[in-house]
Amino acid sequence: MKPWLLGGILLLLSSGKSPVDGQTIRSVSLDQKVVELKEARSLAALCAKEPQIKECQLAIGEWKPAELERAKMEAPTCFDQCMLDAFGFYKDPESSREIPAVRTKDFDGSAPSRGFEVTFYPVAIRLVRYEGCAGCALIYQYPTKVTARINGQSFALPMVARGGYYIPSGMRRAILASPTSSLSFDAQTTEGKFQVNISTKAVKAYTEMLRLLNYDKVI
Amino acid sequence: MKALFRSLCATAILGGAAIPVSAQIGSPNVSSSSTVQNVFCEKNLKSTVTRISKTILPSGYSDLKDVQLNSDFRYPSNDLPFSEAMALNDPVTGQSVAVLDQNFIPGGSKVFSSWGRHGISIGGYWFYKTGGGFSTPIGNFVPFEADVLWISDGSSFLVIKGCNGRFTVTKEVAEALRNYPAGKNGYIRFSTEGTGSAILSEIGKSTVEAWKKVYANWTPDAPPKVESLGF
Repeated sequence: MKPWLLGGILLLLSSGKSPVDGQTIRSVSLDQKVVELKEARSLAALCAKEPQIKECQLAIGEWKPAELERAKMEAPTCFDQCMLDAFGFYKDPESSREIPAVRTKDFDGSAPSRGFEVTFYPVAIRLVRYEGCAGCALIYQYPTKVTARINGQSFALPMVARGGYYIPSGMRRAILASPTSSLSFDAQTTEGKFQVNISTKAVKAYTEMLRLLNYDKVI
Repeated sequence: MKALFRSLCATAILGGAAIPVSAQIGSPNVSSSSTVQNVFCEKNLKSTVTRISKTILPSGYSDLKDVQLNSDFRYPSNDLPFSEAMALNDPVTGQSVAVLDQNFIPGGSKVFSSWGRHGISIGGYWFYKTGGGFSTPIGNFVPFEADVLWISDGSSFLVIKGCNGRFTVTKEVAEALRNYPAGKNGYIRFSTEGTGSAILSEIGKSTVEAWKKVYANWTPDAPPKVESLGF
C-alpha cells in the first residue's frame, strides 16, 4: 500500500467521528420503523436506540430535553387535559410528564353524548368512539381500521395500540402544506363505518404543534 | 321491587367481573397484606389491609366495547349487553374482560351471571307466588347468591366453592370455560347459600362463544400507551 493512502486512512480513523456523527449512516424515516416503535413502547426510547431516524434527528421530543423545555415555553401546559381544539402540553397529574397534544371531538349537536374523540400527538392519534347517557356507563369503541383523507389524498394508518394509530410522514406533510384543508378519518368499527370530521381549528392546532416541535423540518 | 332486585343483582355481578384475587389467572399482584388494630372499633377488632395491583389487559381486545364503569349505585340501570364479551375499565380494580349472561322466566325468577377474566359472579332472585283463588295473589322476590358452582370439563366436572355469589377463576376453571363446546347452549349447576340443592341453569350459546375471548390464553403485559408512541 502506498504511504500517502495509508496516511489518509489513518487520518480518517483518528478523527474520532462516529458514523452517526459524520452522517455516514443513511437516515431513515420513522415510517420504516413503526414495528420497532411499537416494540420500543415509546418514541423517546426508540430515538435513544436508533438516532439515525429522521424524526429523532430533526424533531424535538423527550430525547432532546433542553430543546423540549424551550418549546414548552411557547404553549400552555394544562393538568390532565387542555381545551378542545387547542394545542397544549398535557400534564399527567400522577407522573407530571408533559405530553404535547391536540384534542378534538366530532359529534352530532342533537346527541352530544355520542361521537368521536380524537387526540393528536406528533406522530400518532388516539381515536375513540364514545357513547354515553345520563346515568349509564360510558362506552368506548376503538376502530379496527382508520383511513385519513386530506386534500384528495388518503392514508391508511397503521394501528399501534388499542385506538392508537401512527401518522405517516406523508400525512404530516400534507397537513403542514395545507393547514386549512378539511381532514377526515374513515373509521371502521365492529358496529359499522363512520366518518370523523376534524375541525379546521384542530388541524391548525396540530400544525402548530408540528412546527413548534420541528416536525416541519422532517422532509 | 323486582326492578330494584334486578338492578342490585346487576350491579353486584358487574362488580365481580374485575375483582382481583391472588390465586386467579392473569396473576394480579398481591404485594402486601397486613393485620392492623381497628382503632375505630370499640371491641378492638383486628382489621386487614391488602394491597393488590390493578389488573391490565393486553393488546388483542381492540374489537371489544370498552365499558368505563363510571355509573355508580345511583344509576343502577346499566344498559350493558348480555352474551357479548366486553372490556371493562373499573376505576378501582383495573381493566378486565367479561361477559354477562341472564336466564329467566318472563315475569318470574332470574339468574344473572358475570363471567370475568378474574372472577365469576352468580346471583339473582327467585319468584314465589302465594295466594290466588279467592284471595289476591302476592308475588315475592327473594334474592340469592350462589356459593357452589359446577362446571362441565370434558369427561369430568369442576366443583368451585365461593362465597357471596363470587368465585375465583383459576387456570383450570379458565381452561374448562375456554374449551367448552361452542355453537350450542351450555349448562352450569349451582347451589345457593343456605341450601343444598344444585340448580341447573342454561347459559346462552353466545356467552359460551364469548368465553373463548374472555378466557383466552395470555399473560398480562401492559400494551404501550398511545401518547408514548406518538411523542
